[in-house]
Amino acid sequence: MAEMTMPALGADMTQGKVTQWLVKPGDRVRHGDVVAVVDTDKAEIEIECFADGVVQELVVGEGERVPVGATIARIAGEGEPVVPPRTPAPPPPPSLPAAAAPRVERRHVTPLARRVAADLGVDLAGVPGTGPGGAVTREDVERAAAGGPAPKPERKRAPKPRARAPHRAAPARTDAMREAIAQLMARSKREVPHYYLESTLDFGRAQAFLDDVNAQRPAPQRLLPAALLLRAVAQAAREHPQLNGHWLDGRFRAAEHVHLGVAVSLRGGGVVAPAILDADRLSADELMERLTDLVARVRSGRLRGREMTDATITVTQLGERGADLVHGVIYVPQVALVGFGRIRERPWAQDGMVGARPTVVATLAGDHRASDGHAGGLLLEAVDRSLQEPA
Amino acid sequence: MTAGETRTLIARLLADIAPDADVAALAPADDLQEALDLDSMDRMALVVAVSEQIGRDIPDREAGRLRALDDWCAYLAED
Repeated sequence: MAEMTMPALGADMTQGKVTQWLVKPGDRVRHGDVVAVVDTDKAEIEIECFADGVVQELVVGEGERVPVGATIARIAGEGEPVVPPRTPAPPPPPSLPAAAAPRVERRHVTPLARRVAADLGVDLAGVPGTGPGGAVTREDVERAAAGGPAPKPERKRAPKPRARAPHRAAPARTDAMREAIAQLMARSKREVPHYYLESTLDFGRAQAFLDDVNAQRPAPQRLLPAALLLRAVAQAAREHPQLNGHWLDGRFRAAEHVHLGVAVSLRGGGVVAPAILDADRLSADELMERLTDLVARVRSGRLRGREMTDATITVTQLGERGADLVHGVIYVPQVALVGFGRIRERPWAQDGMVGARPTVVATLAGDHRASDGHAGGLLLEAVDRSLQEPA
Repeated sequence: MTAGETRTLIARLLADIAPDADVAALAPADDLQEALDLDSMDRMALVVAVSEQIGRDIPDREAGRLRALDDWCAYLAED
């Protein structure tokens, strides 16, 4: 029997809320399947199953918030007897004395559904539940409010994640995210002895390459400078493993892969830095595609659990209208963060001549416990080398 | 496409890209990226969305010049 626990989706996460189960007791699951959606303070994250088997029990109902490490589901391994599924234990309704609700008839209503029902003025008694064990979910309430029919309770297939309209972060989420960022950044500045390096890099060849490629491509396939910058950092991180990994339990552990965190800012405020997995193996085109997908999911949809936990080094790029350079704060437990300022024309001396070139100031914030300035300087050199060979 | 139609189209497409953007408050010559705090991906998304709507690609060279509503109106005048 495997227990699935609430994962820590980032060093700053202490608790999470299961907003949606995509499986139900009796469903067969495999390692890597997305089984639930968890709301951290920062985003809705799709979490994956780490065992093969059959879902035996969903311990936590939709809408429930539990600490990191708490059991949220039990998975019976192949060949193990599957005990008939129980429904998740309903949390006591906060304001209702136990005697007020007939025990036998009481159905599980997720706290979220309860809140939505209150907002929408829906009487929960008349809402059919389609969640695990017949629980009434937010969707059920919304459907009832809209006057739509309930789907068949026994859903065989996991519902597809709904495409949702991009939205500005809700005020509650913004506050929670501010708090999460505050915790993480304060911890980084408190614990990590940062050192900082910077180099101004010639972006002329890279820009010429982009102009050339983009002139021949339709709009959806064009590359942004970010694709080349990410590629340069991913390759440099592979070459310099002492900056690619994590500081855990008092020592540095180099990572075997390069999972490149990308800081993405949200329109409502705040920033999330999910990872592009195995970024060092991707071409500029592939990185562009992943970046576009990642940004869209950060802003309007969902991230995957591994994207939130597995970054080995992070890049922050200030974009076209940002400042000239950034001295970043490392995302603990990572040990390095590479920053790029705005790409702009600057005077550039070469071969005894001064001309105007597109340039970018690259910075490295390194954890001095894990590496020294010399290693960091070599990483920035490797970034430069990659930018000079964009093709 | 008339200037009015272009404004309506851009406003509708921007509502998906930057939901909180107040396009109605824009002056015709305002730089969209600055006025609405768009990043390079947002700008690219707008070009892609307009291309789909008008049924033809917008070359990269042209796309770089489309900064304000005025630019879009002039560019789409013959569509």
